[in-house]
Amino acid sequence: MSDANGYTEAQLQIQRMVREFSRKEVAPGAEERDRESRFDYELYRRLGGLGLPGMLLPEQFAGSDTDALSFCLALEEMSRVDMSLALTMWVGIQGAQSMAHGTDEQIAAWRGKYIEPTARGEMVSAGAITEPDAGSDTAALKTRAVADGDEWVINGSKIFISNAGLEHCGFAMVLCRTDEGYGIIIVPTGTPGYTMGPPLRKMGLRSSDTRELSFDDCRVPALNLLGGRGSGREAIITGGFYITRLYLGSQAIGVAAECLDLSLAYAKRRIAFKRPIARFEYVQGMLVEMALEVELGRLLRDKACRMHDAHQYYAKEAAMTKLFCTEMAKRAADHAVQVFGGAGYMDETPVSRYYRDIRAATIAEGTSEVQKYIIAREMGCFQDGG
Amino acid sequence: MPHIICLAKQVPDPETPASQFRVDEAAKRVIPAPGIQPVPSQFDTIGVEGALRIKDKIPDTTITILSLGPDSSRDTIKHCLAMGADEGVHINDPAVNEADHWATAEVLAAAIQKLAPYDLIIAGRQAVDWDMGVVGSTIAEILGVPVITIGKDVQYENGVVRVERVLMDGFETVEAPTPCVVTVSNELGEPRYPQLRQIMLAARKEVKAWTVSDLGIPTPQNRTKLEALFVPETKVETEFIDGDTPQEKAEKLAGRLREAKLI
Repeated sequence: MSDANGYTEAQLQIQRMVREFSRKEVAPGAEERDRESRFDYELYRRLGGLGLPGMLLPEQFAGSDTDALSFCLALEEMSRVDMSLALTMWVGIQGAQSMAHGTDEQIAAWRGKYIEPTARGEMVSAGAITEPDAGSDTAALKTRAVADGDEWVINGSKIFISNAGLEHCGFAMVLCRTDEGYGIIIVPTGTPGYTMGPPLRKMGLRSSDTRELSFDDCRVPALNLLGGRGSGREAIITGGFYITRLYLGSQAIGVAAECLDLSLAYAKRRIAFKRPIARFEYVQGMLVEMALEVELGRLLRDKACRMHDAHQYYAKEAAMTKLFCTEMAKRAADHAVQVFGGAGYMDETPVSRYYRDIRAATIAEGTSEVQKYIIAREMGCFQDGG
Repeated sequence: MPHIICLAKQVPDPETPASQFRVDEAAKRVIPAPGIQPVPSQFDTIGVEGALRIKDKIPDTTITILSLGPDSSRDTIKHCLAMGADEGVHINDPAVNEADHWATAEVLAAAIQKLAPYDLIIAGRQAVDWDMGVVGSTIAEILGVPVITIGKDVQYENGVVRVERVLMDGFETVEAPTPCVVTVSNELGEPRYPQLRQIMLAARKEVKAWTVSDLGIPTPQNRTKLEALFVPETKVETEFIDGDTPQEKAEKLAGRLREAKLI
């Protein structure tokens, strides 16, 4: 049995559970956490108790082996009330997700130390990819890992890195230039030579942690190259750069859907010129555009997720989802502030937080411009001939 | 090995915005709000929570979820299974989709007898759609077993159920031999959230689907007749009380309230 969206019974159950938990347990403190730029560790442990960080991990790693669409529905619901928390979660599980695809030797070393604690919500990881002079342009990457006996020696710096400064961050996945080209190397928190800067001050997403990291002759075991020696590049490709675009797209859908619901309710009760402002056509135009784009975003996201879950190639669909959903959510948050008027500009309503939070979404995980490039590339624009 | 049967009804989402609540007065039916999924009645999930607390103490307890309703009610059963219940039974028969409380109780009682032996039947104090609050007690009447209503704490041990009840002016604790029907109230506490792993396990569990003919009873007839169904009109009028001083305004306000027989 499924609903009009084609979601399965299990997907609907997950969606409802996360919706209820988010409304009752996450929403009440979201504004305060944002104001104080504070991450709530106890709340994250509760997410772990429900099994949310372990959703995508196989059962043998204390996970529940759900599909990507289920996880995206969960992210959407959580992002409706707290985009920072949902971001911390999906970024925080990426390390364990990648480790679960490691070699037998790596899994044996990491299972009890990193993978299962992540599934239980006791640990998160950081993804250290971006550098001051290299974001999506990985060719400009400067952080270098050099093999020295049975160790890697890492030197370089990373910027805008989520989660690294959290107390329960166990390790960073550091994208490095290696003698094989590129590789992701696991650097445990506390490794000598691995230092982090103070929390960066941000426009939004303030209750998520963002910092600058530096690696100065930082030594880790040779085992720590994801995928193992000779497979570092392959591990990056299979590690899921595409799927994170669906995660961020799902967050954007959640923000847009909440902006729509809040705006519609407000427009129906806010009286101007003796009638609710929802009766005015210009206001209706904004509400209709939001409703339409939320629906369209879900259709794109659901298709891309289903392609991922069916092990199909979906680079174009992932880029389309990320591009459309984050851009439309930015518009939706802008409309929401407009519908709320002066109240929307004040921090007394959540829409001002959504407006600030969503702004990062068209930049992170590849800017909108990079997504357009990917779509053009996948369409064959760079190949000559008919 | 105790066997608890929990009754669970699917209802329109009580969080549905009032502006989307519509009734078809001619058909005397509530029109489902478009795009809003029905949900398990909250008192019933509290009943499942009560049963799970017994199972937490007596792990070999079996909890069976019993629901009467259309196809979509299967989702309510799955929700309760995901909370931690063991088995689900769905009575899905168009002949009783419009059953009143008595016909509902007759069908559920017959299903409970088919599921015998049982020790406890737990239901919410009322469903949150019609708020009748009589199905649990009517089932006890049909089965000829004791009923304890509006419980906030349910303990089971050696064939005796001990329930702390909510009264208008306090609480009382009563005991009854089992089998017995207990209805529970929100004072019992929040129902637990289904865990991901349980949701995935529940998705794989079979739900038994029965019709009235599987229960060995004739289709029960409704004993109540719905005369009319409508959304009452509410009228709000605002009157400003004028006066030169606060005292004068207060005196005039008191006079108006007295005229309206409000004080």
